[in-house]
Parts: sequence; structure tokens; C-alpha cells
Amino acid sequence: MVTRYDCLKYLAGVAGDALVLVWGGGEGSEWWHLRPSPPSVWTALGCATPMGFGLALALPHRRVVVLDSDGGILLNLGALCTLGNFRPPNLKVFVIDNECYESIGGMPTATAGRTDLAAMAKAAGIEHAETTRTLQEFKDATNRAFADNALYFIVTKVEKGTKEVPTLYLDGIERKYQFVRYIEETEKIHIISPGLQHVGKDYKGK
Amino acid sequence: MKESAAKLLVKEMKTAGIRLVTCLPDGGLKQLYFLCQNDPDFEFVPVTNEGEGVAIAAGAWLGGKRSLMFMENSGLRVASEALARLNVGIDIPVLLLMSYRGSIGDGNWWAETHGVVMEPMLKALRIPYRILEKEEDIEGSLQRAIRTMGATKNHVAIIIGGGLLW
Repeated sequence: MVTRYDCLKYLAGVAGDALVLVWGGGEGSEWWHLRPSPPSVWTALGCATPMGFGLALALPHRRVVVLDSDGGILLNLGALCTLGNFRPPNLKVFVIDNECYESIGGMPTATAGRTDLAAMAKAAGIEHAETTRTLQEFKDATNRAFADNALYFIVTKVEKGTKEVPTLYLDGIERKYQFVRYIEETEKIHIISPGLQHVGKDYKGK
Repeated sequence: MKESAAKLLVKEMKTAGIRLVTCLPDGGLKQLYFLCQNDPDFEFVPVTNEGEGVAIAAGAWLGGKRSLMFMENSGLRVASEALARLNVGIDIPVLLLMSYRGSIGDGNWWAETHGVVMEPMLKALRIPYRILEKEEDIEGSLQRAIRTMGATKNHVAIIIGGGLLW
């Protein structure tokens, strides 16, 4: 079996300028260590994949990567059905599946039993959905996903456990600002401003 | 709601620069749904639950696309986890539009739950809101909401009150 850290390390190496949405305690810590801000953002429990979908719709010419987890996907399974019907080609969803709620002590998730998230994604309409179980399989699937202009949903079975990484100093709000400023700079658009200026031109006032 | 009010809302959405609409409407907002679903000015995303819709709208905001989620006010309860984390946690705003089911004049017994819970819940979630009761209230409402969202990075809710619903 493979560790989450080894998978994320490979992904960080090939992610390029992809916009990455993250959720998860251990997963987040490892990812921030491997690929520091700006082009990654912290999301919210159960929201990583639908937020990635929204971002993929907003910036269809950018590659959007979601780092979700078994617990995160299970909390919002309906999102698979919406994705299966829209199939945004610039979105690549990675589900790092450790088959447990690790941060609360390791209580098993449904995927430790009979639940197969990749099969559910396929049934929801996501054509390119698969499960990887070794580092080589993960690398091959990632390379296929990045080479193909299509929605991918890659579930990766990993060992339990989080790698010790240096202490993190940025919270979700600061990372959000860094992420949005990065998008503003690379897309030449304005998203966040102190207020009035943002809508001053099209606000007619009443 | 009346067709004329729904048309005014669509006009206001366009003036406010809304480009992406996610929704899980109720009977009260079905006229809005029918108008939005095939409008080429909107990217239209029907969702499976309101938490998902809110998250999609939030993701679009990160990319600079103005978005709106519309729903029955019961959806506020379903979406509350996503709304709280986005609003209080990381300051990513979402524009909400919801029907005020259960307000005075609603003849459905099941709507009482929605009416009783909505306003205290919006307050608990720190979501400022404005209730629209007349067609004259519609123009400028979403533009003002977006101005507040830009300044505060908080969600804002526009409520379609009983005066417009029935």
C-alpha cells in the first residue's frame, strides 16, 4: 500500500500552475508543506469538490484540482451526480481514501466496508472514475487525467497515518487571500477589493 | 410568485452582473427557475442539496464569477454547515435568494417550520438579509447585496416575502 504523502508529493511535482482546493487536517498539512501557497486554497468540510466545480466553471481555461477525502465525499454524495451531468473537462478530483476518520481517532468510514466511491461516481455519470492502490497506479492515473481534457475522479487507497511536517503558520483566511490574489494576477482580473470600488462602475444606486 | 416579479428579479440579476446561478427551488420560486434555466446569460446549475449549491457558488466567487444560489428557506437549514464555514471561517461570500415560506399568508401547515426558523437562523449565521414584499423592492436589491458582500466578504440573503409569493 501507498502513503498519502507519497501520492501528494508526486501530485505536487506535476501540478504546475493548477488551482488546488484542499480539505482535511492531515491531508492539508502535508499538501501545504509539499506545495506552499499561493495556488492552493483551504475549503470547507464537504465543500471541496463542489467548490472545485464552481471554480472550474468560473475559469474554464484553467486546470482545477480538488484534493478531497473519503469522509469529505461521503458527506456530500449528491455532488457526484451534479458533476456527472456537467462533466467540466478542466476539473480533476482526487479522493485520498484512508478508509477512516483519522483525526477523530480512526473510526472507519463507509469505504472501509462495502462502499466503492469510484463505482458510485461512475454510476453518477463520471466516465473517468477509477481506484488506484499503488504509487505507480496513482502516477499513471494522474498523468492520464492531466493529459486528457476530461473530468477525472481518482480514488486512491492509502495507509492510515499523517507524516510529520513543520508547523503551519497561515490560516484559511490568509490562504484564501493569497489564492485569490494569485488568480487576479494571473488572470488580470479584480475579485477582492476594499468594497465600493469593486462594484462602483456597475452599481446604479437606489 | 407572479411572473412579473420573476421577470423583474431576472432583470435585477443581470444588472447586478450575476453569471452563474445554482438552485434548488420551491413552488414559490418556480417561475424564476423556468426563466433562468434556458437563459443564455446565465450558467445554470441545478443541484442535489443546498449545501452543494452554496459551495459551487463560493467556488465561482473565488474565480471572479458572480454567482447566486436560490432556494426555499428550508434549504437554509441544509446549507447551514457550508454557510457557516464559508462565512465565519474563511470569509468567502455567497449571495442567497430564498422564499419566505411560512410567513403570514402561507396556507401550508408544513411551512410553519420554515417560517419560524429562518430569521433566527440567518442571525445566528451572521447573514444580513432584506425581505422584499413588493415589486418595487426588487430593483437595486441584488446590486446593494453585492456591494455589501464586496465590502464585508459576508453572505447576504434576499428574501422573497409573502407579498411577492402569494
